[in-house]
Amino acid sequence: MDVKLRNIVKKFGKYVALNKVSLDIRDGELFFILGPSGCGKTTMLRIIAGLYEPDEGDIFFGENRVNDVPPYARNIGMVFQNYALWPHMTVYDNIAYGLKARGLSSREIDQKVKWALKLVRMEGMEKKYPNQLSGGQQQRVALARALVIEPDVLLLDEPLSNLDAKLRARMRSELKFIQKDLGLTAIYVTHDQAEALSMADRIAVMNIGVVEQVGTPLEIYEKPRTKFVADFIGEINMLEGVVVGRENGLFVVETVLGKLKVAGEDLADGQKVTVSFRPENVKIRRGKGLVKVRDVMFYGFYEELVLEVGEVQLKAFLSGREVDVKPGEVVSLEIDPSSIVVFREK
Amino acid sequence: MKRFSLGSLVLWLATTTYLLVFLVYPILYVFVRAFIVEGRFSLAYFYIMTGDPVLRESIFNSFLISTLSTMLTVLVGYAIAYVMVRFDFKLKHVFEVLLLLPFVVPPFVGAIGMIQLFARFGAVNAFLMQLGVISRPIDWFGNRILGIVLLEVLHLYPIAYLNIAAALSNIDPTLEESAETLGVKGLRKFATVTFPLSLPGVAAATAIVFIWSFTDLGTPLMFNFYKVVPVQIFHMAREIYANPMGYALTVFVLLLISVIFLGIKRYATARSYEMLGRGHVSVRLGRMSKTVEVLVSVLLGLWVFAAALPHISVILLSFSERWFMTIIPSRFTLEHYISIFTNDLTSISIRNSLFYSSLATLLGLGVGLLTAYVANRGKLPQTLRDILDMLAMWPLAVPGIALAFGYLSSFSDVPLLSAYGNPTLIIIIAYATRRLPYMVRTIYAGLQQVHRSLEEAAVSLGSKPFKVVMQITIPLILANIFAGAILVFSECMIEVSTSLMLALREEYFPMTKAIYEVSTNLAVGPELASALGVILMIVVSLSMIITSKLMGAKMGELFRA
Repeated sequence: MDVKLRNIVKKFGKYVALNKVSLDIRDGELFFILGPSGCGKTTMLRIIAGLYEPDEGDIFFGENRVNDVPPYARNIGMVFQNYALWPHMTVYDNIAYGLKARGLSSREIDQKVKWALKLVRMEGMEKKYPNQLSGGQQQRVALARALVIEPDVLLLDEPLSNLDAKLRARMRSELKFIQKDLGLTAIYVTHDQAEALSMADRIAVMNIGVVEQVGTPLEIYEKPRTKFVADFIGEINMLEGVVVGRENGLFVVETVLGKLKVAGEDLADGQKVTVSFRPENVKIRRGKGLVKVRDVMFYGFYEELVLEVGEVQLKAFLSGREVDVKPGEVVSLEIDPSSIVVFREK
Repeated sequence: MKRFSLGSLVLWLATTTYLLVFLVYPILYVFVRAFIVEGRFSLAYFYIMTGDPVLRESIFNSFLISTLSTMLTVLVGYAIAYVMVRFDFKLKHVFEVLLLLPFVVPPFVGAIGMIQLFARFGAVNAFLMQLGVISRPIDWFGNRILGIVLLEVLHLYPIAYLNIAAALSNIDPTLEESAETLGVKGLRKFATVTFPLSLPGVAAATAIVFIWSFTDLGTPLMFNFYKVVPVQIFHMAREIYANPMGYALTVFVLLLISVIFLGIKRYATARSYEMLGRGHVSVRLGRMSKTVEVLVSVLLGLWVFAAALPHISVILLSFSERWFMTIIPSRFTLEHYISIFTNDLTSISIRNSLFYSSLATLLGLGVGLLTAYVANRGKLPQTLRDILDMLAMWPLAVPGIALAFGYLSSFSDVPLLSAYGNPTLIIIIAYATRRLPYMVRTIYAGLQQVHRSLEEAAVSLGSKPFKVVMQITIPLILANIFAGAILVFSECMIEVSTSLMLALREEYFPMTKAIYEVSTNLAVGPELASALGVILMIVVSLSMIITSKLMGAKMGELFRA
């Protein structure tokens, strides 16, 4: 089932939580809504679920406009951040709940609950109560409860944020596997960029009530469309500069690092810009240059160099101990023009 | 910091001894006297109890009254709590205040008003005859049990409402939302998720209301209805030397209460779910359509009016010169207010009440402060502190009639403490002990808010522990101390059961006992009693206002289980 949002506006009092948001989520896709806290991502998910009503705009499930369809009639499965398992029901009853509501026979219910428990690898836990389970197990039950009703859309609200780091990493691949296996359309809200980059088919990056960019993880990472996206995803260096000319189809930008060649479109001479590049795309040349090495930090599979040029601090990630530099050394930098992203300034 | 200090131990011993002497010993004494007959363990009194037709009927009536009261109270309390917690409507904040009004007066004062309203020649009959609904006066309280139940419900519903409202607002909203996303709504959602999760609140409300209505002495007494357990105990207390049945009956009440408390506790522990890390979602308050909103407001308004009616009637009665077959008095007067200060019985009772309550407040303050401090901060093993805390909360589970009966019997031969001589001291102790939990709770709440580092800072600057308490701790919890003191004072002023049982001679009567005596014995008795009742209402209202100003939102918590 594909899901379309058209110009959704949601206000809480005077605060505009969502400002004309439109999204197209494709059938069978694992779609992420990523953003910092307060960006409106959970509000968006709750609007899709029907738990909030939008002030303006339309929501479509397939061809049907579902604005006026209450949550209990949307055939969705939702996994809440705190799991929202009913403490007075066993694991079995929690999972069977939605099936009972759909009036299935107890044999069918039994079959489906068993199937769901197997899917999330929780066989044999039927009779336990939620407070007898670990966080990870509760998480699986919450997922099983949402999946067992065979929802048209699976909604996940920061489902892994209450788990410890190791378990989170394992659940990522498990979740993704189950989603693909069932061919479900899933919408997943998180503030964790690693989660989004590693799991998503596509990501919508949100900031204060608007969608900044929609794209595959690779597009989002390599071709951020706004400074916010560039800054929010991964690490990035940013430099102010001015366009001073063209050379071989590339633009020349004057920065504290000297003249940098960048790929770009339609930049006039004198245009103020911000030049950004990822630390792993920086190459180091020893001896002569403007850049001073402040510090070298060893992280195992890579080293982080803290660099200084004028007032500006930059980062470079070097893998495999390519260059052996020491703090205090002076170096020069080389950056591949195709890995530089330019943002126009006013 | 040290884990143990001699000073703390001394304070612990002092407070624990007080509670052992004035709480544990009297109760223990009653148990011993009930089970030991002629030096041997025996159930003889209980055989007699179950064989005595009057006692059997009394026990049956008490169960009937408290069961009916509890069912109605919890039902009404749940409905009110659900509307108040789950919906937003215009008059909500007005009703938040109005719904708590019944706390202002003990129900037995309301009984005077109720009897006046529903009397053969009272206001209700007059009203109905004017409307032409009936042609001859109806005898409403031919069945007095209904009158008692009605008064209990009108008085106790706020307790049910507060407990259930607390449970309802404690339910994580996502637990209901997840039901909605799975396709369940309305009544089914309520039955499978909301209601089961609110059961701990319902259980607490049930226990409190049942015990309260089972052990209420004042209301049946005012209705002249003697065949209930509390009134039987009241009468037996007067003939303690001749009739040992009072012991058995008191033990019966205490055991019944213990069973209820233990049952509820087991049930609540089995059902108390830690709400797994509350979500970040706040409750979505339901909106009502205009019609429903009007309907709900009218119903709530009518209910509040019904609850206030007995008290309104008391106020009218206190000003009435003639109120006979009319809806409101036909002539008004201030005479009764002058009389209560000139009549010997009533004027002495006002003086006595003020004296008893003031001293009881001071005593309660002393014991409460020490208890709260030692239980919260004492440098003692946790077990000792827990024992003290448990003992100090125990009066909540001991009904006034049982405590008073214990005092009467166990101290009957002890000079100064015998209620048969001058009961002043024992009344003061009874008042203070009965209300000790309120005092401890308010002060404890304050202490919990004072971070230890504030005291440690003073110690680090060279101050001695006692100085720290006086200069840092006490000033910081002063508001709580005042709130506790005022609350306890007003509760002492309206204390019914121990007042009725311990003050045996007119010169020692407090106001509550004077109200009972006057209303049943004098020609203008109900009017005089009402005037006294109005004074009590004023005292309690004022103290409630001051306490809630001092305690803020914490006020409601004092009345919850």
